[in-house]
Amino acid sequence: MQLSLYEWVFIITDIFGTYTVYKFMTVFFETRDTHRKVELLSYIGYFLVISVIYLSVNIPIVLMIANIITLIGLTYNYQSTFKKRVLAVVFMYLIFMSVEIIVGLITGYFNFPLFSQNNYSSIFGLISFRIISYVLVLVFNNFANIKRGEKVPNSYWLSIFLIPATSLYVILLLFQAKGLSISQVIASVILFFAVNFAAFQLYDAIAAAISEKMESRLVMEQNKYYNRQLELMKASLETTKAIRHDLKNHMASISTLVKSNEKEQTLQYISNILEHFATERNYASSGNIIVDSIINFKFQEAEQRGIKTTLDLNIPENLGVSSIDMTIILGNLLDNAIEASSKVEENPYINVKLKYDKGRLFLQVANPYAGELIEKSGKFITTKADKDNHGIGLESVKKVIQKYSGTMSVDYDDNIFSVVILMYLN
Amino acid sequence: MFRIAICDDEPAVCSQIETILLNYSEESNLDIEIQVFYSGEELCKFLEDGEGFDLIFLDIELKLINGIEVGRKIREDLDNQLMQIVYISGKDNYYLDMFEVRPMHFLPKPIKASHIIKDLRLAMKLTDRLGGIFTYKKGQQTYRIAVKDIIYFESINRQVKIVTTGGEELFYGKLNDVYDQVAKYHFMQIHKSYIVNYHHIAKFKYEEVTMSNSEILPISQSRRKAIRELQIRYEREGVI
Repeated sequence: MQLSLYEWVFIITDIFGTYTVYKFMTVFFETRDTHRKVELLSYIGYFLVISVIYLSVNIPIVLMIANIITLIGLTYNYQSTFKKRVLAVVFMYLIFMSVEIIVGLITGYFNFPLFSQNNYSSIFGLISFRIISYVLVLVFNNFANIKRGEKVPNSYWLSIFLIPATSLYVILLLFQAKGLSISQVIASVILFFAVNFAAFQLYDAIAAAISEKMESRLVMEQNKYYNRQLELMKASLETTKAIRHDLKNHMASISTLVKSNEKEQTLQYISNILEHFATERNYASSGNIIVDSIINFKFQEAEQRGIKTTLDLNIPENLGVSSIDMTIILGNLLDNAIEASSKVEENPYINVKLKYDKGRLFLQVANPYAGELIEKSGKFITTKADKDNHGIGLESVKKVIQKYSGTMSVDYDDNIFSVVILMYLN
Repeated sequence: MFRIAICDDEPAVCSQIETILLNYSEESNLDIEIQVFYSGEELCKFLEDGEGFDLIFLDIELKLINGIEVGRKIREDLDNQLMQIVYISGKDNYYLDMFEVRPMHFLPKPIKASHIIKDLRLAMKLTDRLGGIFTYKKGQQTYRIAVKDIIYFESINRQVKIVTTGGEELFYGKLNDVYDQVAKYHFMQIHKSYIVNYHHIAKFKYEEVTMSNSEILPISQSRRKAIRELQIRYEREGVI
């Protein structure tokens, strides 16, 4: 097959176009889910498929469908939800198409028979299309909130989705319509583009608002823990004061006992005091304020619900994990543990172990559970009535752990549910 | 024989730990030897004379030379990376420098018997695991090296380099065969050219490890997830 100059230019600029698509993906998606090599291969595959279809078939509607399908395929390189993938692709395609149409119409060769072979060719138009798309991507890259990707509620998603989807349809209709002048069509496409740009901006704002809401909820939760910690510290200060006050009295008593050679009674007296100290310490006091606060708060809750708690804390005062992240991880895991353990009739307990070791943080939470446990796409659901509640937190826990290149492993043998988390703290 | 040192300036604490250990070893029929020290100087002097222990219960708040300094001496001056240290402390907030000597565990006072026993069992398990021997051939001669002294293996062309606490050795062989021999002692293949002793890793990162001799070795990209899973598995098994 002999390729014309135009077709060569198409292939070469399509490499650049594929890179533009990649940049566009980074507007929407933050974390890669596949290996770097797989990602690269998938983009090469995208480039090949589009080039081959263009060179062999070259019917706009076929190209459009192929583009949308392959673009959705490409989004699977990244972690996201299906809703967001569809939205991203529709937006992306709409933007590319608008630019292509505007450039095509302005360079004055446009002829758009939707269902038959397309043979307009302007090297100048092609190159400007690629460059303009790339510049646009750079502009869109300023919207930082979209990729953070807090979950947008369905109703919002539908409203946002309707705008580019409808635009796409109407733009296609414009070309079937007779009696419209080129300038009218250009004006309509530009206006559609403006409307979609505005929608995109709104989407960004909504994502920002949602993540702000999440954050303030977490801060409120933290305040709750801190308040409880403050109470505990106050109480412990009171106890110390009382002990100091009593110390004189205790010493006087001991000295009287020793003077009268009452060995047994002296020992009894001392062990009473020691016991008093020993019972005081069933709470976290590692000096790491956020960890102590969360554990003390949750353990109090657990004990009020009749759950026995054990704790093994081997962490330094300063861990290098932000308090928000710690709240998400520990708060969610302990909530789940309390929830599951409280449904166990016999001997409910929660074991918590935190250990800093050789640059890593290990967190283990173990508790018994009742009933069956169902694993559903990485979430755990008990067969009990609390389906909505259980396992929700684990998603956000996973997200935080990823920030620390860490991992979470879940085990549920013999009716004991245990989670181990590893995070690298460097 | 499992050798244990107890070092605390309060004789009452020492004798409490000693009693717990002795009672337990009698019940479970364990062969242990316990030595008690009332100051860091005393313990250091003993260690400098070349004596070693498998496990030390070490008070942090000692007079003159405190527990952290003793720990540092063991790891740095004496270059002993395998002696297990359990810190005992009256306070329960710990600082980052205490973790640098890689203690096995921290125990808050008052001492609980169950904690002491748990730590003893863990330390015994670890020491046991490192009790193996690695053999390799060089020419007609067969050589034997204690697994606990091996820091890592590196494949260089058709030879394998063994880096130990005492030095280096080269022999002709395949890294795969080496791995088959040492995998059960918790060695990890972090790279197509490196197999490292888990117990000689001083610091972990996602993409590299620092060994006890301060060498930094890379974890290849394709193995990072598996190495992470392995660490979790060891942690579940209580290997540290």
